[in-house]
Amino acid sequence: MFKALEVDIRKRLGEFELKASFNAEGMIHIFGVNGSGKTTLLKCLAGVIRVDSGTIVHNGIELTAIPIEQRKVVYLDRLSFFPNLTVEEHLSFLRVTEVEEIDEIKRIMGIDYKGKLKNLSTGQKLKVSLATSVLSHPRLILLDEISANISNAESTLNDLVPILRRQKTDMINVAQENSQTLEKNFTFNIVNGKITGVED
Amino acid sequence: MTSTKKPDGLTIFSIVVTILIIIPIAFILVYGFAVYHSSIGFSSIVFKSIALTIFSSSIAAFIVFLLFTPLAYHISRLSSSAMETISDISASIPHPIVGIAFLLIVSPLTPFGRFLISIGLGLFDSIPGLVTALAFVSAPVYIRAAQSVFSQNPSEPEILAMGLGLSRIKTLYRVVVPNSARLLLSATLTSMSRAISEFGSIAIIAYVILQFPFAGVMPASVLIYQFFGYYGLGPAVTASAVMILISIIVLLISRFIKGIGNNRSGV
Amino acid sequence: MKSQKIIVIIVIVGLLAVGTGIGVHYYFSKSKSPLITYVADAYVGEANYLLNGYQNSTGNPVSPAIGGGSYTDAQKIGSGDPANVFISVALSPYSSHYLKDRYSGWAIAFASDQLVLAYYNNTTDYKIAMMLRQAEIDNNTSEFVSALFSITNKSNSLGISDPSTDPAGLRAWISLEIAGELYGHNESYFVNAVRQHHANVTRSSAAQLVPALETGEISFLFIYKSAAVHSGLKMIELPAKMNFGDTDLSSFYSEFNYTTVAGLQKGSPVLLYITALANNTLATDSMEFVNYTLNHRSELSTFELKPLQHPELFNDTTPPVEILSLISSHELVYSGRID
Repeated sequence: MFKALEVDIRKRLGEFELKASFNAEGMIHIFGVNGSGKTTLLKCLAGVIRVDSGTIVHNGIELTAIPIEQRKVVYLDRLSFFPNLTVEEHLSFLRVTEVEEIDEIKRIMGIDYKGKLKNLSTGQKLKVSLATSVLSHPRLILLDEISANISNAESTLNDLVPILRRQKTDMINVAQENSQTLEKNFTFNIVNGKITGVED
Repeated sequence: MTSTKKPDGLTIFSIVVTILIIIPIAFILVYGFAVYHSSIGFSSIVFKSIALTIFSSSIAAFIVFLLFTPLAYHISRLSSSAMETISDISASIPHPIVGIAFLLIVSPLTPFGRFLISIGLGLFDSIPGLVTALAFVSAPVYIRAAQSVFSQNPSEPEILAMGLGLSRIKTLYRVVVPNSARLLLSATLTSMSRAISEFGSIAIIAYVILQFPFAGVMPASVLIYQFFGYYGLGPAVTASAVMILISIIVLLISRFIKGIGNNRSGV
Repeated sequence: MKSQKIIVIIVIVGLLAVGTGIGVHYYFSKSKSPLITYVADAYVGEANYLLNGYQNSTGNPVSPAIGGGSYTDAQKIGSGDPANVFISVALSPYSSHYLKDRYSGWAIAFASDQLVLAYYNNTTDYKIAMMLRQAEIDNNTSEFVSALFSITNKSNSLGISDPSTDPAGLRAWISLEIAGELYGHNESYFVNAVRQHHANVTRSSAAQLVPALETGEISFLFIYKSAAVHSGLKMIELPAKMNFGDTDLSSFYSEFNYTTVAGLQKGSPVLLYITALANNTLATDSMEFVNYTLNHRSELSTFELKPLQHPELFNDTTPPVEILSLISSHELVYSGRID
């Protein structure tokens, strides 16, 4: 069945081997214990790690060989922010974003604080980073266990869904455990580098 | 950090070897200022020469910062051992060879030299020549220091910037450099210290500057060597003491800037 | 991992072995400390030739000659550099002012040289040099002045070593004074031309300007003939009154002078002097080498040097007995004082 995101990749890192094959779109939730290959999977999708073999296709476009800066896939973990920028500078990082769009996302995500990122709490930083990512209109946003650091993370993500849908951005949220509150379209469990679908 | 009342063996050993480094410097300072205190050592010729050295070394350090920051970043992220080795070459060859190499490159014997001369950019005994040699010999110091700064930085902000669509070079200048500005400035000052101390190559390519505003002025290291030949120990030691004092100030500023960076990153 | 460790250990052991091997080889092969000779750097080749001959004939070990500007060498020796013999191309570096407790009080001139003008081998500089030579042959004063003026008025093109560290530079300036006096309007005619047009490029010795001439950074260089020959430089000889090569013109040369940081210096013929330094760790070897040099001075003609028929002794104090015996056998002539 055709889905926006079609993944079928292999990556060996020492003893560990990632064998991920799945099709999905919309809000995708992947859970697994430490060492199961969540971060490796996301970094392969983002282009940070080169895959050994296989393909990553999004809306019919093969991303596998596209370099990270042209891939339009944003990877976020808890260190993904620009510490020296203010909230405003961070949100207008790409220097092309309309003010109205920034205001809309600030309202939806409850970003009502100012100051340099390095002086904010982890949750506040990550909200700004996430907002910045959404504003760049990427194909995919990959969240590497950042929900745990944001208060009311899942309701914030739920609030973003209309915008993501409007701009055809899919999102993968990775966590240690499955989620009951996240409004997700697909759920997968990853164990020892192998990924399997989970019926909610 | 654990606080111990009694220094252990390693501490004592470290203090002893530190003293070994301090001894010759202390001798120069004591003999320069207290024993010889030569008036020639404090003459305007010495201060002009130190001004030239500081001026040319700071320009060289700035050029090194501009040119070699991308390379240091590239090496730190992709660990290209070939590039790393090449960037170390100028640190591992005797510096008179660097001077001879530049003398050859910029001479009318080579097409490149003829081109430089045709556009009026003679490097021999000139400020551009002096700066070029200083930049060349201090570059490895900067590359090493900057590389370790970059390696210690988390790569996540860079991955984010590239994910947002920035090229690697834009990521470097918009994200990486601003995040490490203080430490890179400190690395630049360290390479400036290296440039201040240079003698071997500039004694060949830029022994004395022939153009305004430093016409007739020698770089400090050359002048001090020359003083030794002219007047013997006294004036040479006094001029050396003045030079060392200024070098120490540059190093202290570098340490201070680095210190601020460390404190901030600890918050 | 284990094989990596082994490779690291092998490399370290290898480096240590090479270092120790070199050290041991030299320690045992030279049980006696070698004779150290400081020499005006234009004459390093000549000094090494003599040192090798001396080592071969006596078996005493020698270090390769250490070159530098004559005045710089003298400063170094006076500051404690461990020299045994000092060969200079001017007399004043032998004074107590420079040599301090290494001052021996005597020096012997054994060969003469002359100042020449070496030129960069391109069309322009060659033409000017040939013009100067032709003018000298034709005894054409106006042509000579015009050629010398072309040399002294081109910015950054005339190599003159530092007169305060190298006697060749000192003689170059005095040579220009003589040219001014003889051919120009006054003594400072060409000196002023050089200054006004910033013609001169300097280094602490003429030898250090040779690469700049070879690469065309400068067009002309005042240097001693023997140095020009063994560096393979193109050169023209200067008139005897300007080249300091004629010992009969000593009093003429001394009418001209130039002030360096050490004070007023008179013109003097280009003579190569030698002394065995005082407070010498190898006093006997040093005297033997001085003797060897005097006995083999004729061989120096292969280096374009003119061996003196009668070496000249300059002394302030009574020289060692070995020297006195040479005086009594008329091989050596008294010529004056050092200071």
